[in-house]
Amino acid sequence: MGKNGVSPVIATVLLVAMVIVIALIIFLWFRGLQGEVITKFGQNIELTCSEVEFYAEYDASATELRISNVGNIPIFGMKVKIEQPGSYTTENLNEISSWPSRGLGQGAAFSGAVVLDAGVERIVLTPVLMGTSDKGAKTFVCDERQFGQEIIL
Amino acid sequence: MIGYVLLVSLAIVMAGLLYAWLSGWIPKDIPDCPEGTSLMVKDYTYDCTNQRIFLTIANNGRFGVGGYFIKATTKENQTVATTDLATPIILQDNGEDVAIFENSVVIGPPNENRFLPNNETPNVFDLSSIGQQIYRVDIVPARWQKEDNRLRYIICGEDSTLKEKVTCTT
Repeated sequence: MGKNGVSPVIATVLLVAMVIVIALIIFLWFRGLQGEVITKFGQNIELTCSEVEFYAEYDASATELRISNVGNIPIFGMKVKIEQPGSYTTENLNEISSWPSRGLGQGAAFSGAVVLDAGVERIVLTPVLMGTSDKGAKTFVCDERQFGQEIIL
Repeated sequence: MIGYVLLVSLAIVMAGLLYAWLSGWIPKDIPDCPEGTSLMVKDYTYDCTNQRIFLTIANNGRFGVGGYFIKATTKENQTVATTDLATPIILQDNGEDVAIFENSVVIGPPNENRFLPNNETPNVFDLSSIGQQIYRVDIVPARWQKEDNRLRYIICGEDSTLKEKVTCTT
């Protein structure tokens, strides 16, 4: 009868080491799937998006977009989805207008010229919030389907 | 023995990581004004010639208020008021201690909701810097509220927004 093989101590150490390595790999993979966690006011920023309150309108005759932040969550930026028949483009409001560099604080309002093509049928405004992550301050675009505000032209 | 120690410590570490990740998903109480916080424009005089508006603002709610955000529309068909009136307010000695704080009008000493139910405050706004007629004023009450032992100035939001149409009276 052959007595070749590893001793029970080495087998246990190997088993435990393998479990640790596999657990680490699974954890890192899971974290990668989740993406970077951004928080605001001590909670995941996705939850904070539901607290954002703002009014918006587009005055086509004056080519002016007006937004008023009537909530307590500062709106750092605004994503604008401009929809035409058969196509759409997405722009950051700070790139196409005089949106304030520090965003709209509580109670603040914005009114600025935004020139849209004649064929534009509707625009969707989605708030962008500033939160914190492990790597410092980071912006987060709220979910358009849940928190986007539609303006029909 | 070593196996048990490693297993238990691994479980603790994983539980800690899971807790840290999940705790971010617990909704925190975002401070909000109590239901029944409300202001009204009791009376107004809009002097279009001299571009001044006199507003008598009353607290018709059930709670004290620390101040208010005030904005105006400058076009007849405008629905979102964006012209700030807090800055053009004329601070006058009318017995009320009024100040400007973060684009809002603070009534009474800061950190206190001193504008109590049934109180009134007469405020004058110089509109010459706006240079246009105004058609509506939107007033949103604000309150000082303690949150996690921190005093915050809270805007009362959509539910408490007062929209008052104004026309020239003189």
